[in-house]
Amino acid sequence: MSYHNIALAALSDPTRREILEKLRDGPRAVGEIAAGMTISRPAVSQHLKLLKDAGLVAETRQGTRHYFAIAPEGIGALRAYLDELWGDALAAFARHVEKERKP
Amino acid sequence: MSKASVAAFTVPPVEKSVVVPCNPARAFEAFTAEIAQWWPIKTHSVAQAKAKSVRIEPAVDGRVVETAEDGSESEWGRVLAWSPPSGFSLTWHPGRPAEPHTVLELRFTAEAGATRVRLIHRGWEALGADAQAKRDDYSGGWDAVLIRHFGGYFEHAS
Repeated sequence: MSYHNIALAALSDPTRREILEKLRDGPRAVGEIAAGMTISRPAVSQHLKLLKDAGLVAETRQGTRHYFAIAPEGIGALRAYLDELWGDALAAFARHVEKERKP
Repeated sequence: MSKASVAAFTVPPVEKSVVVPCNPARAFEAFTAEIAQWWPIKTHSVAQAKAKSVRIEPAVDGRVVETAEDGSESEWGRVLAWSPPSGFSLTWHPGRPAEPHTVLELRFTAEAGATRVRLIHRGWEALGADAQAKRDDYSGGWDAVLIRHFGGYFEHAS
């Protein structure tokens, strides 16, 4: 599985997207993220681990507390990938048009 | 958190362009009537390796349809505007229900004896307001577009 597929798979789960949205305004501790969610705190931790493995979330420690934040590099890489898809399609189109100019 | 991190969540239109050595009418025809001949169907499709072809029905409300090797069809979108040779636009929802969808627009303009083909893929914010994507506390734009749309479209079996 390539990087973008891991990231897309990580984001295919609505709970993980909900977690990510909770991080929009800044880093949060697990307890803060879990507050208001219907799943248990250990379950939230599991989802955070997966998001971290996918490069979408970064973990930092301050004293004994662990904070999770959006990883802009991971999000940026995913966007670059989506952008590239159209580049591929247009390049294939240009090759098709140019073919007929050749003898 | 820095502004840059928050900004990473807004999804601007994807804009691409390519110049091809023919007039706009020919470029329009090659893009639409001949799409099956150049579209990277084995990688950029719903059925992936099992995908066989794709076609655009050339009229408003016409479908963009992928056909798999087993004959099954999958709608990628519908024609919103059809104005050869200057351009066309489509709703875009490969691998997903028709709602929510993004919008794809293609423009063909003459440029120094050739044609510039501009592709603009937008509609993310509008999707955020869609009932299906709506959540009270945050924008559903990211959710609706990248995940339901692209995620479903391009996700390979692991």
